[in-house]
Amino acid sequence: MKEKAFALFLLALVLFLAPLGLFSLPPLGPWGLPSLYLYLFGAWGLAILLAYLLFRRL
Amino acid sequence: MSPVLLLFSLFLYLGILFLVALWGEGRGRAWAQSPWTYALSLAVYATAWTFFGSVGRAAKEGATFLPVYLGPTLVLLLWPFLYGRLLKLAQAHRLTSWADYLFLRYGHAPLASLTAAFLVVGLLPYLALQLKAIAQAFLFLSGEEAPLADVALPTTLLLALFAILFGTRRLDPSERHQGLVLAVAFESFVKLFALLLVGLVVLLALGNPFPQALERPDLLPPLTPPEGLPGYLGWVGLTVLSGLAFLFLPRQFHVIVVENVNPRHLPLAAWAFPLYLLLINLPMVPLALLGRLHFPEENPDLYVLALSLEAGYPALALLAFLGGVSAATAMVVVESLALSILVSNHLLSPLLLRARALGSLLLWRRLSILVVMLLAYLYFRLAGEAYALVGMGLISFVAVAQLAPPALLGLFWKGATREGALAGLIGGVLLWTYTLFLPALARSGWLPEVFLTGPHPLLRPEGLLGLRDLDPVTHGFLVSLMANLALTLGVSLFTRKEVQEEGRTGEVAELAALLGRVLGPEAEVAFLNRVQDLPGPQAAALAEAFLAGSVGPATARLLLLSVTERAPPEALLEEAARESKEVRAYARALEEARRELAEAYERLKALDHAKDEVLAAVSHELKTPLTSVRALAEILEAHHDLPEEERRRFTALLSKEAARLSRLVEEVLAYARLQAGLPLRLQATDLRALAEEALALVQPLAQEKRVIMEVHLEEARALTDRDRVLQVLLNLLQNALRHAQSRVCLELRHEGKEALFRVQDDGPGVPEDLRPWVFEPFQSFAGGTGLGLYLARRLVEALGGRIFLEKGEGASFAFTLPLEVDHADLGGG
Repeated sequence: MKEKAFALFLLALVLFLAPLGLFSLPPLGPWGLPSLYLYLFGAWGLAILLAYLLFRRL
Repeated sequence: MSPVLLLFSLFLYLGILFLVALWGEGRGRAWAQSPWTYALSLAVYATAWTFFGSVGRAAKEGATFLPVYLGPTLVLLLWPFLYGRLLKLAQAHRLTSWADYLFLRYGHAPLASLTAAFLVVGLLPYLALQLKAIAQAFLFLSGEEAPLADVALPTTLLLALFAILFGTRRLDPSERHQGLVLAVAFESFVKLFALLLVGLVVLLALGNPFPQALERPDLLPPLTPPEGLPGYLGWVGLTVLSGLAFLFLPRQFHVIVVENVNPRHLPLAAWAFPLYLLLINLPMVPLALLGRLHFPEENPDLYVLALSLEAGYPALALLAFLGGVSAATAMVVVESLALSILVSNHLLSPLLLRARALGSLLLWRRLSILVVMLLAYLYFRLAGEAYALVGMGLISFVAVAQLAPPALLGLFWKGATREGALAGLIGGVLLWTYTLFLPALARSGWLPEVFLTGPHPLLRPEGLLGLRDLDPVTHGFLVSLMANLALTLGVSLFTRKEVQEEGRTGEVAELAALLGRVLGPEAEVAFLNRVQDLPGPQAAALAEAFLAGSVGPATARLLLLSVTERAPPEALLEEAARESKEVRAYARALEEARRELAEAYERLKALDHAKDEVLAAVSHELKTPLTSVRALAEILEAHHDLPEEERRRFTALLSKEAARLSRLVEEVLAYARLQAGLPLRLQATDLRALAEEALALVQPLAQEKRVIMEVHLEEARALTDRDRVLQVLLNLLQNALRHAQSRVCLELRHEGKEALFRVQDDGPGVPEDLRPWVFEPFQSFAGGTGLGLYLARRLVEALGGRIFLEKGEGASFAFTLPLEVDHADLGGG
């Protein structure tokens, strides 16, 4: 379990600290919502979902 | 909005908070101990900075408000490594803060005291921020121009009262405060609900701001990622900084570690708390953009309130105000409590001990809560107005992050030394002061301009060594943390030495008495209950943990000095352990011998008792035939004219009773001989002839009983005591005849190098439950002395044979005799 938790931490670290400035993100993306926040909240939600799946049975 | 209504709402809300806390201490205890309450209580992290300040930061600087919440998410994903370990340590040593941990790890009182003092100073801006948020919101909604302090001071005093009432009921701060935890969880729910409702209602009322932002180029930067290397460094720095702050903030340590009632609550909190943070941040960007669109000139920290009013819902604005109050009060109460524990454990307790006034510690802890709150109020009055909410909070974040190198290295690296930890902490604190704290005071006008520009361009506080374009907070954080880390590592490497464990040992009675004097009789009893069977050093360690939880680790160690002595060196301990092991083995052997002796004694007592009984029984058995003999003799003597037939009948009866007498006497004599150990008289014996002689002797009895004797005898000779073998045979045959219904069988045959005699009858046999006792002395199952079979067994065994009861119909007794006897022990007894 410790290994999986650490792997999830590394994944979240990469997702949260991605150098988004290197990519040309349009200000608004799908559904007229800002691309930057869609990515950040999506990555955040994914990390939380994986944490839920990993820790729920403990 | 009416100031009276606002003030009434504020105090009504605080009153509800008191009631929730009271309920949590009583009937609501189960709710307070729920894992969901635990997860919600962690949201004390989301303060007024989150409620009002994040919208302000999002409006001004875009996405950089988010790393403050991504950092804690990262830290919680590592809970098995960080909090799992901390919880075990905290339970074992009653830790109440990171300063306690540093003292435990490095055993250095000045390091922990420095940490405590620095955290109080470093967190004052953060506490001031909360008071500012409440006062600012109050004045905005009431439309008053009165000084900010008007509402902040009574609120400060009320919150201090709340923290004192629900946080310092007992001396032991490591005790859980259920009411406080439930109140904090309640506040977390209120602020989340309020912010989500404000976001939803404002969006519905004022419309989607994103398409409008596209038409306003000045609104696009908040929607784009941080630009360039400085922007990216700022993003990374803020994420790491907030993660470290979450880990090292005293209030977070308090709710996560000290108030944890079950370590199994952590896995749920590890995903539920980040989800809470995600939800509370959902409305930030829309609110920020709407604020920029509708109130370009307004203070962005007040957008949440202004937009509620703009949407046309004053009640929503009131709810938003109470949500902000919730966020601020939870933080202020828990943080001031955690700081007061730090102050009392590491600053006050050692002083009170020297002044012999440790008994007043609880009073001083309550006073320190009040003092911390008043200092925060003072800071808010002096410097608070120069900063935005987030700016003030971040300065405190960098301060608490200075604990990271000594604490994390201490947790995972055995090579970290107290000198390294002290050097790192001092270096980090100095750089934090120079790059962040002094410039903050200079911006407020309380210090000269030189604290902003520096004495030399290379020593500019917000751009050391000529660094440019970095955000001041990112700069101060990176510089101070790197210096701290380098010093901790470097000095530790140069000061490494063999770690000498300092063991102390003490008498349990003295340790208990000390606990009773300092902490009261309850602690003494609790200690005595747990200390049973613990060796001296562990008892001393347990007493130290008890004391450390209440008066702090440094004072606990000082107190223990009076009743403990240094544990002996390792070699002596080993020698003592070896001797102890031998003594334990000797004691075990003694115990075994004692047990055997006790069993033998019990057996002797039982035998003696049985012997008494059999003597009584034998006397009775002898008396009956003797009486008969006497009566018959008197009849014969008195009646000379008896008919011949009658006389013969009486004479036969006389003979029978005499024979019975003879048999009884013979048994008793045989037993006496056996006990006396008379020697065997061995001679070459024809066993078949001996068996036939025995048969002849019992033949009259068989005829009288009308029992048929069956005989199967093989030839056999042995060197043995024929009289004793005959006695055994007669004994078994008489027994068989007594119980047989129609038939008794005597068998003699060869069995290897033994001769086997078997006497079998067709009687009822021996009941199953009596079989183990049939050869025991004085165990009479059919009248008599109960010695017959016992004597038979002893005689057979003395002759080198075995006697046993076989299974089957009726009773079947068998015994063996060696055909070539090795008479090593021919004793009869």
